[in-house]
Formats: sequence, C-alpha cells, structure tokens
Amino acid sequence: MDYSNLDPLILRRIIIDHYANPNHKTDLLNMKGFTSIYLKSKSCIDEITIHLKIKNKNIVDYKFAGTACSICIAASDIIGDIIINKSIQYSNKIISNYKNLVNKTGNIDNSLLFELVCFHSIYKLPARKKCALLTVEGIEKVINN
Amino acid sequence: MKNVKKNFPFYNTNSSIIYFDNAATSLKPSSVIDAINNYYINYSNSPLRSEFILANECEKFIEESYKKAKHFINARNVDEIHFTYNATDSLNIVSRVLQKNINQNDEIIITTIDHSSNIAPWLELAKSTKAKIIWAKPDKNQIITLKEIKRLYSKKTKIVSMNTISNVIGKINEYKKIGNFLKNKTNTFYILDATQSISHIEVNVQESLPDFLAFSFHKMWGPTGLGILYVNNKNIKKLTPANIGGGLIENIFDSGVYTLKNHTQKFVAGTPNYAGIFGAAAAIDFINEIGYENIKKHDQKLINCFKEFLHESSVVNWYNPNPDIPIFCFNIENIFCQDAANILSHNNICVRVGDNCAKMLNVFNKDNKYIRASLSIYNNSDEIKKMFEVINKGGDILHGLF
Repeated sequence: MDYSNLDPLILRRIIIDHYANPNHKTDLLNMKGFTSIYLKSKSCIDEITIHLKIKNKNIVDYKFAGTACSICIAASDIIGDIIINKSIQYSNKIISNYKNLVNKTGNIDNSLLFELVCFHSIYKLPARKKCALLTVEGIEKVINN
Repeated sequence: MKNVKKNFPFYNTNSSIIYFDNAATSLKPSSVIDAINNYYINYSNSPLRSEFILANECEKFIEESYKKAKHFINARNVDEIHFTYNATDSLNIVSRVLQKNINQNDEIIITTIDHSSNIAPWLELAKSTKAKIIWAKPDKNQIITLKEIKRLYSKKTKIVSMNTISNVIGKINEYKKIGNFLKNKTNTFYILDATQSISHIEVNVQESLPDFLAFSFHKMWGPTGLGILYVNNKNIKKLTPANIGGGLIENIFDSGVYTLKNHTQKFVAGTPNYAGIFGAAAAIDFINEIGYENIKKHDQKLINCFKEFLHESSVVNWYNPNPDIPIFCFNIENIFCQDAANILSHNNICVRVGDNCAKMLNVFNKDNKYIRASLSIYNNSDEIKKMFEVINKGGDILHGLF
C-alpha cells in the first residue's frame, strides 16, 4: 500500500498529540468493574496496564495506565478512540488489520485504520514495532477470553 | 589511556560508535579474542580428562589460568577459584550450596541496591527454607554502610549478600568494613558480588574477607560465558556441592551410593568453558598490563568531564551524584528515557535505559526508569561532548519514523 500521499507532518502531529495529551490514560492500576491486565514486553521497558469494561460483547469503556515511550502511549490512546462503544467482533477486525500494517503482512483495509495510519512506516524501526503492538495485543487477549 | 582503542577490533568495523554501555558488557581486545581462538584452533580438547600430549599442553594453560585468577583477586590458593558461566551462575551456585545450612529461624540480609542476580537467588532460598529476608537500604549518600548492616545484624543472620559497587549508583559500598565486622561471626556467610567493580578497582579477598565472591569476565574486557566463584578455603571442606557430575565423582555403586573425589574446585561440575578460560586469562593479563592505577586515573578524568557537562545542561536530571566509577544515571526533561535512547541511538551513541535490573532501587525517580551511560578505558571526553551536544540540542523522539 502506498501512503506517500499522506503528509508526514500531520501523522507526526497525531502521535505527538496522543502522547502529550492522551484521552484514555489514567493513574489507576485497579479499576472497579473493569477487567485489567498488566503488559510488559520482554525486550523493552514499556509497562502498561489496560482496563476494559465489556457488556453484551461490546467494549463499553477502556483506560490504560503505566509508563511507556511515545509510540506505545500514542498507540494505546488511539486504539481507545476507535474501539470504545464498538463490538468485540469489530474491535478484533480493527486490531488484526492494524497488526498487518505494523508487521507489513496480509491485507490492509485502509478504511479500518483511522488515526492508526500514523504507524504505517513503523516497520522502518523494527525495535519499536513491539511498542506499537504491546497494548493492542493485550486488548486482543482480554476481549477474546 | 591514549591509543587504547587500537586494541579493540570492534572499532575497526564500528569507528563512529560511541559505546557507553560498559556496565552491561565491555568490548573485547584482540588479545582476548586471539586467546579464545587459540583454544579452538590449536587445542580443542578436554584437558583435565584426557591423556595425550595436546591435552597435557592445554592443561598447562588451564592451570596457569587458575593461578592468574588466584593472583588477580589475591586468593590464598587455586582451590578457592571456580570458573562458572557468569556472576549470576556463581550466585545461584552459592545459594544452592548454602541451602542445607539455612532453616526457618535464620535471616538473610540483602540490599535494595543490588542487581536482580544478587536478589532473586536469595528470595528463592528464603522461599525453600522459610528463612526471613531482611532488606538493607542505602544511606543518603546512596551507599550500603557498616552502620546499616550492624543495625540489621542479629544472631539469626546467616547470610549477608551485597555488591561492592551498584550497577546504577556507581559508588563504593562499605564492603571492606562490613567484611571486617563479619569476619569473626562464624555463623554468617558473607557473599560479595564484584561484577561492577571488577573493571575499575582491584578485588582483594584477603582484605574484603568474603566467604564467597562472584564476578563475570565479560564486564572486564573478557569473554562472555565465563565467571568466577571464589570460595574461601575455610568453607570448602564443610560444604557440599550443589552441582554434581562430570569431574567430581569418584565411584558409583550398585546400591545407588556415589562418592565424591577429594577434588579441588568442587563446586562446579561438567566440562567447563575452556575457550572462555583461555580468554579470561588474557583479560587478566590485559588488565594487569594497563594497571588499576591507570584505570582509576582515567575513570576520574571521565567522571570530572561528565560531571561538568551534567551541571551545565539545563535539561538533565541526574540521579547518582558523585559516582566513584564512570556510571551516570539521568533523564532528559520531558523525554521518556526510551525515546531519548532512540535519539541517542540515531546519533550512534549506545546507552541502556529502564531499571537496569536494579528493580528494588526506587531512589532515583518514581518510575525507576532512566538512562544509564557507563564508560570505560576506551571512552574519552570528545565522546562525552558529542553526547551532550545531542542531549542539549534535543532531538526528534520520532527520529527515523517519517
């Protein structure tokens, strides 16, 4: 897929905005009524706890806590904007599509990327792919359990 | 320390790299690489078990290596020297060797400034014996003092285990004073992890008086996969090995009973890393040629230079003021340390970030995450200057992405 028509300045802005002023970040490590999971990758220092509230196969609320790098925080926040008030089925589609983008594998449906498109060139920084995927893979685990 | 870089072939292929991750592992000089190759190319045998001329020649090398290691830490005899895989391996061996001597009424003093490798084995020992862990904490100067150990010491104290220098604080703990305090306490085993100090200050076991001492050669320009376990000879007879097998067994009987050889280095079993032992001997020669006095002088220059830049910079929060060895832990304002490492990495500067395996530290900052720059004999003030140019300019945290 060719993303060269996208303005890198705008994509950069998306990451920095979500990193500097996240919408879904909390300081709480435990949240009543939420299913929480602690995430830490083997090789980097990102540490994220995600909180998901699921009702009737829908994600009704989502928060995340922890300390992590710009890529990880931005990805953790953007995904929240997309999946809150969406079904588990739809969220799974969003996540697998995004994983294809990051890993440069499979088919990518651009209409399901939304702001996650800002990570289209993360493959250039192989070490940071895990930062971009840590939280969504955690969400995947929780919603499919 | 001029021209020392030319001893390190790493710089032939990585001439623009500024390597500031020496507390993780150090670069290797040609003499060490050649010694490892010497074993594989010219010997490649199992010297202590075989009877042929090549094996006998190789055995001489190995015996010589034991002697070098003995002199290097001023042990009383070679029986006290055990070649292990690394310091972590050594500390795990000690914790399992001591298992039979520990029970639920005993206490184990460990410190919050130690590396996981000198914490986890003791937590495991405490779990299996129901002994109690007592945490020693650093004073306001960020060191473990004799006063702190005295405060925590009781008749129940069976083990005191600590490092000579923390891998993130870089200050010399009062381990010699503590060794002197413990020397007549015959019921207490004193264990020292010298891994971070070994490339900066000499270890003298007759001065620091540990029952056991551990370090890894890869931190002192030697090979990976080789460590030292020193066992004070007063303990050798009274303790039984935790690892048994090749090289240690005298006889095995039908009844299922086995007897151990009256062996010298009895706490390690199996074919060791012979190539590593060759390399370790070369690393000891290398350090002796340079001399600790010259290393200390160079360290002090690096520390003075680094301090100057740290004080001048308005964007750096420095967490370990006044280190004795050139280890510096800091954060750059408003930039998460991993993002900062990304910026430094794109400028060919290698540092480590995170908690650096000092997971109980929590004295630097709330998250226990920071940048660690650790310098060595081949580093210089120009490299420090370049790093601070990058830091002070502030980089792009998304460098390389677009």
